[in-house]
Amino acid sequence: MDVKVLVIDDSQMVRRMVSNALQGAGFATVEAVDGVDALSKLTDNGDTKLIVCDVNMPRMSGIEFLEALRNDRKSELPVVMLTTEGQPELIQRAKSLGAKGWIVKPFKADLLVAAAKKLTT
Amino acid sequence: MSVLDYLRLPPEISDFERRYLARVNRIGLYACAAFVAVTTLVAWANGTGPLLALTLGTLALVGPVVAMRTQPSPRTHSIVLGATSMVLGGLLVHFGQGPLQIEMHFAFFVLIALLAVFANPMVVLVAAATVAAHHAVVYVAAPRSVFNYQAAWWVVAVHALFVVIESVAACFVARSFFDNVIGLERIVTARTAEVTARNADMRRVLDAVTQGFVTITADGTLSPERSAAFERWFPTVTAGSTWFECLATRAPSFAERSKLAWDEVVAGFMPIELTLDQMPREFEADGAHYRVEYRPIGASEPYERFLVVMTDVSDEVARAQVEAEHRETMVVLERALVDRNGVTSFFEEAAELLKTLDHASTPMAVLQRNLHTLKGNASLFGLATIASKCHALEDLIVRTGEAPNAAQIALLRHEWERASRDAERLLGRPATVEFDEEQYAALLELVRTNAASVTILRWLRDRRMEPTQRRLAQFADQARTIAEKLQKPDLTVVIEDSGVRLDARRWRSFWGAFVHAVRNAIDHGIETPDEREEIGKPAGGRIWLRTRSDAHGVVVEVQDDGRGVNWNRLREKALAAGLPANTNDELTRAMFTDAVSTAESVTEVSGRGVGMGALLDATRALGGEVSVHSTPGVGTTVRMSFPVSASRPLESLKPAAA
Repeated sequence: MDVKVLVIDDSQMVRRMVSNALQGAGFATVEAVDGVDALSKLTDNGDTKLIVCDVNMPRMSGIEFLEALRNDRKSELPVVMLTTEGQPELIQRAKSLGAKGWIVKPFKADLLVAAAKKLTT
Repeated sequence: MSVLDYLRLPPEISDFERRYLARVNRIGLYACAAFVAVTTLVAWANGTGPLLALTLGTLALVGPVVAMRTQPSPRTHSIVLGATSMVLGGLLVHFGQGPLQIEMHFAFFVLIALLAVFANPMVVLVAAATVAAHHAVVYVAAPRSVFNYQAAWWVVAVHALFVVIESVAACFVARSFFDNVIGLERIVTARTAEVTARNADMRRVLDAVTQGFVTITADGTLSPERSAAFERWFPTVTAGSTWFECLATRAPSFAERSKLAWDEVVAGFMPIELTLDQMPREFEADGAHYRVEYRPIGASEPYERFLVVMTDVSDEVARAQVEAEHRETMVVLERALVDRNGVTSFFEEAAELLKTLDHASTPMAVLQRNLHTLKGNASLFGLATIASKCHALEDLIVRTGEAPNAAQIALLRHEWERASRDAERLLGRPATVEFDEEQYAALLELVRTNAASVTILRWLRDRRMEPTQRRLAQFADQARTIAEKLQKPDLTVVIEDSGVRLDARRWRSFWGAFVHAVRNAIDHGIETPDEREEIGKPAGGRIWLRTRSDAHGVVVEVQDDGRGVNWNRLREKALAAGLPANTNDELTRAMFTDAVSTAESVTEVSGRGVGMGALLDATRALGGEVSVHSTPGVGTTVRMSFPVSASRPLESLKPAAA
């Protein structure tokens, strides 16, 4: 069965680009528009193996989502943050919450796929 | 290699060989002395004259002692010792006469084998020659001295054959010993010299290249070998410091970001191609631009060392800057050819906006709005460098929550002054009224036919009135560019200008802010092509730009066929900002309030919630009002209605009193 990745971003364009890249490499993707949406979709899909998450989102930011994931859900799922350049504080915050790494937007599809493969094997 | 070269050692003697031979020669001499003692003992036991044995033996030792005193080469000492050992062997056989005499010959074989220790085939060869000569002479002169029986010549020949075979073997052992052990030092020296030369070559390369080269370990520690350029850029670097500490001396925030990204590289969670690709690349320090690249050293992961290549790209950056400025000048020129007054009024208005940035008293909201308007208009007129400087300042305000300081504004001002110098050169005097041939003929005709002065005045005044068609066409161009940028291609723009003409000077500020309405319609109104197709709309969006004028005044409209205003979301935002949001009017007002924006992301084209406020202000300045009509899923119309007074020219139409 395809490895399932949860893609969280409020921008439909980014979600679509991430999904396309991952699906092209044989991953299955589930999309969520923000942290709240992501938490609801995570219950339905216990088989998710990786989360790719934007930082700036309405309702629940990427950092808040990460906190909820680690503290409330007690989940240790690998999370990769999507950021724009020059956000050292956010990156450090995400790292302290156990984010595996971060990918700077705009990202290169092949490198995103390489990261997803490395984190799911 | 010929046999002779094999037997003869290369002439130079290394220090190692010299020390070795000195020691072995000394031991050889002691061994010879001991041999004399043994021969004397044998002579005494055998009753063959120990005194003579001692005398002859001691005389034989004179040779090597003299050689070691007088000859400079230790190899000569070895050769003399070799020959002496054979003479001593001969003495042993001579004084060993009796039943054991033939056994005494074993001494020769033992000695020849031992001579290999001198690592010199010549020693073996000379010894073999000595023993051969000794046997030949003594066999003829005093046969009893060598053989204790009547030996035939062929017996002597068999005897000699063993010596030859052993000598060949001993030569081989000696030469191998020399080449592989004694000569090893020579090989090491040669290699060392080669490596030193290569290092010197490398050093010359490192001194000559204009790039900064240095290798670092995974924890960032610098290697001592660095190129001269590196030393020049970081003169204060101390032993054991890391690359990032080094970098921090010139560009602290770049260093911090680099260190953070480097932690990712060495953590190894993410693929190294990705993490290296995300290393911050360019920085500016003391007026120069540098590019930094990282390359792993070694065949495969985990890499322990990395090459850091730093290049001064100031020239490249300066060239790109000049090219960009040149391109912009061309764009401004093109615009000026089509719409000279439009360009002039843009520059006049932008200059006004820029002035407000310098006043410390300017409220933050106004500052943001003016920056935003300036950014929009600059990109409308193709001044991308100014637009990007404005964007950077906007970013700064959002990030720090503080107004930019004088130095940061100066960057924008500097860019602005360059652009306006160019524009002045291209445009000459600002704002001119031009007549073409046809218009000139019409004017002459009016005067010639004694037309009423009011008619002539109206005619002249109308030359100052600009057809809105020209403006709307400009916005249509801009709209298509924005749509491309936002990945919403194939935008259709419909212009319905109804032949309206307006005074360019009176409407200058309004047109400056109007671009926000166009931008909003595309960014927030028009859906993405995918969304549109899902709900059965054509993939490309459509907007209408309208002007019309009637007895009630002038109307300017932007209509889109997009998703419509999300009133609920707008209400949430308005309430969050502490604004009333019950009636449609209140909601419309909220929509045009700074800091309330339904945008969920900030892009280079819109979304900071300041543009619509500028539009509202500009509309009100002309006595107008804004209304919004929106149907979910069908589209939105933003309508600006102005009183009749706004459609009048600035000049009075009343002829002066006669």
